[in-house]
Amino acid sequence: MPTITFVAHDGTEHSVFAHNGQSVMQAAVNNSVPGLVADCGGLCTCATCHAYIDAPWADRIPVPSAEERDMVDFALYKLSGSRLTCQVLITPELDGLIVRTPLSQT
Amino acid sequence: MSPSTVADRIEDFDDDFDPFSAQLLAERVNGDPYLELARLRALAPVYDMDIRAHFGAPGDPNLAHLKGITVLGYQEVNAVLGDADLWSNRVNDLFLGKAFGRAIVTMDSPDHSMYRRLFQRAFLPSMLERYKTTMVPKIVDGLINSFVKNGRAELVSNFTQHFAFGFIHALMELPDEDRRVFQKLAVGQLAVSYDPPHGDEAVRKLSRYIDQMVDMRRRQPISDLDFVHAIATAEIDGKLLPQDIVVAFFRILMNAGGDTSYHGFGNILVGLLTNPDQLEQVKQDRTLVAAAIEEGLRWNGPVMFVFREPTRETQIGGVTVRPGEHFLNVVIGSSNRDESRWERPEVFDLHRKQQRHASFGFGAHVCIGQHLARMEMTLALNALLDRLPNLRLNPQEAPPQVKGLVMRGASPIHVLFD
Repeated sequence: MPTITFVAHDGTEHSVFAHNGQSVMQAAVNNSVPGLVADCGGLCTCATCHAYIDAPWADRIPVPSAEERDMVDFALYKLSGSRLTCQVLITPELDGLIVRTPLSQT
Repeated sequence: MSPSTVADRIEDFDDDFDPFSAQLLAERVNGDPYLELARLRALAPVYDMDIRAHFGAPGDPNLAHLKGITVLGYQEVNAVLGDADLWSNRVNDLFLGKAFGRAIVTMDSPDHSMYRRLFQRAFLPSMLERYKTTMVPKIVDGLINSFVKNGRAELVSNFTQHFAFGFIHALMELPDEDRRVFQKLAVGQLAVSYDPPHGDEAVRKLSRYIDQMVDMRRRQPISDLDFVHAIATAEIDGKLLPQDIVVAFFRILMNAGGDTSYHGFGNILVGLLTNPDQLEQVKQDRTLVAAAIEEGLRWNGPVMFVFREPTRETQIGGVTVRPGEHFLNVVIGSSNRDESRWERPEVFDLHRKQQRHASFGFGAHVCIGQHLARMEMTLALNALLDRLPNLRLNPQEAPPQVKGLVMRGASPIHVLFD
């Protein structure tokens, strides 16, 4: 079971066990990790599961779809590692993944 | 003949029909529906009955051929809103479609996701920064200026009723002289569900006005940030959005974005003003504003229930439902007070554990304007607290209450301040 660590803007860490095939957003929501709201339930339409996935992890996940890129462009506090976590699926290679959450989703 | 560059004036109702009071009258219900909803919820999460019929409120004639099913439990409400394949929005076409045309609330995917994706660009957090710095503060301050010197005010008729509509007027850059009738017709469209002749009249007159405005502003924006122009020239796969979709978007905006914020913000004020200790805490510590807004919307959201219909025969909460026979009243207000999720749910408590409430919905149709609504309400609440020192209820007047079954809004909020 891969472990994912969510790091909040203030440095607080939450480590959770995730299932392969579920999204990073689902892993966060199932474990009540603060900072990821995910209001649309994972349909890439609300931009409330925005978070940062940086090197070296960024190279181990598929590049965002055009739809995700469109949405990320409109998220607050966009940075180079910005992703919508509902669109990032967990694979065994992502064991140890670090996801930083933004200052605010709204 | 060259196309007209001067719009026809907007046309009011032929008679003195007042959609604002007519709507409230049509939705009247005695007492606090939450007491009865709590009683029902304790026995079962889903009922084979229509919620309006249960409370003795008139039903919608457009739904008369279907049987209502009422979904009350948090788990069940969440499951319905989270599964747009099983639970369709098409039932909304029967009445909201009549009122507003081809709006995305009446659609399922793939149409829904295709059009929503395009509209939501206008509502995403980064776009709101534009509105947050000038447009909304100007409206909020203008309203407060009108009563700040009086030491007293009634906040529904002087503030909440106007602030969200004012923003939509400003966003659309409507001519000042058209705004009153625009808002009246926009709200009047819902009369298709309780007074069809007036509903049809509102639909006809508002559609004609917007259709013409969209044509003109598509050709020629009237400002650098012309929102109507942006929507009217938006493209999907290189093709302009269909005209009926654009017109429907502007026909529903007043209701989807105005009525909801108007009632939602009033209910938040009722929660705070009737709990003066919590109001004082928010005054002293503005980081609590966000929690006050979310708790106010959970405690008394503006929309009690939304509608869905099954796409195949299925069971929910032990009740069998079939396409073409049933529709669901998905009671988000009841979900927000489900005892299995919230302790003492009837109490307004901004310190309670922060969990998602359902007042903006959830899933594919989650409120497209939720970020905008939170921003507006945050600015409005901070401005009221900043500019009205020692804000408190006027003890000489009846305390405000949240009323209604379909839309839930505040009775007059009489306040004093120094």
